[in-house]
Amino acid sequence: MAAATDDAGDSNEMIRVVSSDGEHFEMPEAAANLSLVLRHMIEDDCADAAGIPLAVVAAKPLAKIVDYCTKHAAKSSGLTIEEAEELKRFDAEFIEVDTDMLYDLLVAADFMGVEGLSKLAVQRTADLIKGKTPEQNRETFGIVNDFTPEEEEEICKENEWAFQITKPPSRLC
Amino acid sequence: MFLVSDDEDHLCSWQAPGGDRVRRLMSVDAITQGSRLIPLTGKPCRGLVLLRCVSSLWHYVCNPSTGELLPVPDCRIAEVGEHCVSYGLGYIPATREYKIVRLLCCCDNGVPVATRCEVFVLGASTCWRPSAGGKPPIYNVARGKAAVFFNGKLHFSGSGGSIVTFDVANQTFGLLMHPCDIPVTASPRVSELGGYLYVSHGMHFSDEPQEPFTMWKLKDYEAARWEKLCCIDQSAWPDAAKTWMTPVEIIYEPGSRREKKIMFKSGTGKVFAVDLDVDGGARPEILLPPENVPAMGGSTDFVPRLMGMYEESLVSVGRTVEEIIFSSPVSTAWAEVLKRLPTRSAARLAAVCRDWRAVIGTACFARSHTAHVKLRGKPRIMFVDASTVKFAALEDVVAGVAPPPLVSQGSKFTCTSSCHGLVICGNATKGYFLCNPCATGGYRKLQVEFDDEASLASMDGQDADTFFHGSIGLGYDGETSNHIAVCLFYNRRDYQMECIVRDAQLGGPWFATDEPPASSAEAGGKRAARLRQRQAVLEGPPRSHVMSIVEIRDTLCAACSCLSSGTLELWTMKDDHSWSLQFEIDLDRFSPEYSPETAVPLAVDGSDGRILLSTGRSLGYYDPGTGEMETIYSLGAPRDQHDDDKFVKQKHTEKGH
Repeated sequence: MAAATDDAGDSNEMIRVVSSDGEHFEMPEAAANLSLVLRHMIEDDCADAAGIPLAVVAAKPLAKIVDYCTKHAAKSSGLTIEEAEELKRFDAEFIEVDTDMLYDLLVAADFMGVEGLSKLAVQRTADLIKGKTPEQNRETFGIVNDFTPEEEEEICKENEWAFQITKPPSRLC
Repeated sequence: MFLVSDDEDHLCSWQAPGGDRVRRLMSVDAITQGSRLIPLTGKPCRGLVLLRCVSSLWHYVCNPSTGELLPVPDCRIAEVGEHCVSYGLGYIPATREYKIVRLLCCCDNGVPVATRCEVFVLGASTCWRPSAGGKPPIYNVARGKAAVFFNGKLHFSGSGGSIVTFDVANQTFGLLMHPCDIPVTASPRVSELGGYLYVSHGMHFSDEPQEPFTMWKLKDYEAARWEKLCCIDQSAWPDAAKTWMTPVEIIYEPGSRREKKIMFKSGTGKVFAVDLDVDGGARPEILLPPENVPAMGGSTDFVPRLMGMYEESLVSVGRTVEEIIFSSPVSTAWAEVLKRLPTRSAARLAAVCRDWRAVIGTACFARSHTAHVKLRGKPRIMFVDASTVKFAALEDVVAGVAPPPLVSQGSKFTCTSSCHGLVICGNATKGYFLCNPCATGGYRKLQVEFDDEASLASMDGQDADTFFHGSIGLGYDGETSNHIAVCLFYNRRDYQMECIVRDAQLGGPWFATDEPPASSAEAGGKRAARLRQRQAVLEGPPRSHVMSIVEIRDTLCAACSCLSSGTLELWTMKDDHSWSLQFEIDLDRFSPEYSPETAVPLAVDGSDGRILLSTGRSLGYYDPGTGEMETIYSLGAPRDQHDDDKFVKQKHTEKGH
């Protein structure tokens, strides 16, 4: 048995993680526990000195995620109203990122199972999408339109109702 | 070995020649729902076969040996029509990919004007894609005949003097000329037998002049050199053997490669062989008469029995489209975002890119989107106009943009409660429609069609008019993601209650059920008609007057009015079918606007737990915590005693499509 499991509750234990591009990060065990994936790895004794490899998370978003988890783990229990407010402010500032980073966070948080961050990123992304045309959304998120003209026409036909305000059902008129 | 579907929704195999027993391979009951599944491809492609469901026109890739069945996503095929399209299944050894290819032919007065070719890679594609290697030649593809995979190419038969070939690896088209004796207008059948390609011509229908059945063998593929194999006079054949006959096997002379016998299958399920050395093949020898096989109905009538070939194999049909889409962490993340958007926006965003379209198009996205809206969101309230069957949102009615659609007391207009985003509404004169109130284009008409003429004849006029009134329900089968329409009625012969069900979206015939089928009855146990059916079986709550039964947050609720105390009781059913009293709403305090006789619970607001009540003239939220009532819409007190207008009230949860 590794020594780490004996004092699993000890948040001073540092967990190492490795990004897809090979950068090493450290965070307290309590912070790592906020990620479902990392928690399972720690429970299964897979956290060693070499660090847990995260194959789909690059260094840039991983640095942010480590920040997020460290902040939230430190303030996890028995929050005063002021502390809760502060955490809310932290979240709001934290998610003020460009769309590339938001996209990376969205995918990485979902992959790592960091629930709070995932919710935060999902809501922020949904807010950005809301009220925009497909073309504007492509611009915002740098998505390439990969439809053929025939497919575009077909989609328009399929979703005609979604682009109009009201349309009486033709079969009833 | 042959593959055939029997009358009890099983795929069966039969060993020919010499097999005397039909062996059941797998059940396909879940997808056919009473209609038949027919094998499309003649020869399996390394064990895999293409199947088509006769009623829904959906296609499936199947390995009958392992029982794997994979639906091929297809939204356009109904619109194109089955007659202008031909499917084929091919394999690329280098990449180990299986490709389904279809040629779609647009005809104007029988003259082909455009041809499209689309490809679907098993285990990798999430939708049909146009073929990459150039445009296909304009071609009149043969009706319903599947392409034959030979020499790395799919061979599509059709008229015009040639066969269109499609190389599945490099996606290029080619033409293989017919033997010159075949008329240009004919579309001969292409078959692969014993490692050679054959075409045969001379289809016989009893009302056409007899023409000898002729078969050619492709001796040299590159040079397109055909050699006539046989020319058989069929005049002495029994009629049943002639229709839709297809060569399925060549039996060689022992010790040589000289064709001696040709084995055929016919459209009536007969398998027979002709000996070319005996009278030029004029005497067919029946190998499998369908009357010998009880599983196939034993019928000698003309019942098209399309048989395919079967070979044992362990090849897998691959992942489903949903598994492919959601195996990517990116798509999973987008799905999380998109399900938070309102229905209309989500549908619109399918036009952003292929990935988004694929995610939004899946049944599991639609399901999680609906569930998200239902749990987190406020109920959306829509009014439906009984005369036009149009929906109007409460907000528009309150803002005065739309008039409140009203019905009078005696109206036979029916609207089911919302089930996974859809409702059934209508009346006898307008017809009944399956609608998605959030998508105003999404209407599908429901019709009652009975096989049982007697039960229709015994219904008098009024019965037929009010057939669906109050007795139709809509259910959802979570396993198959299908909506199911359920209708209860008393038959006139012996006044027994009967229950008929039908797939609400695909249509098809209504089925009588002795008891509700397990899958639909368990589909959340949700819908009015079904609930009533269950009430007949289940004990109701311990009250004499059950006003209405609704499903609130996936729980069955019964509203009971207690006139003596002026309260409305809400009972919920627990998992063990026992009832518990959840709320007691004291409506006396809100009299006369609300009373236990008129108020019906519709929904619970997911955000604050308040109960939405409707009387037909007033809509209000009741807060069980504080006992407060907030009226959000009201027609006010009746103007006079003749004013019996009401609105058809229906809460609605949103759904993607």
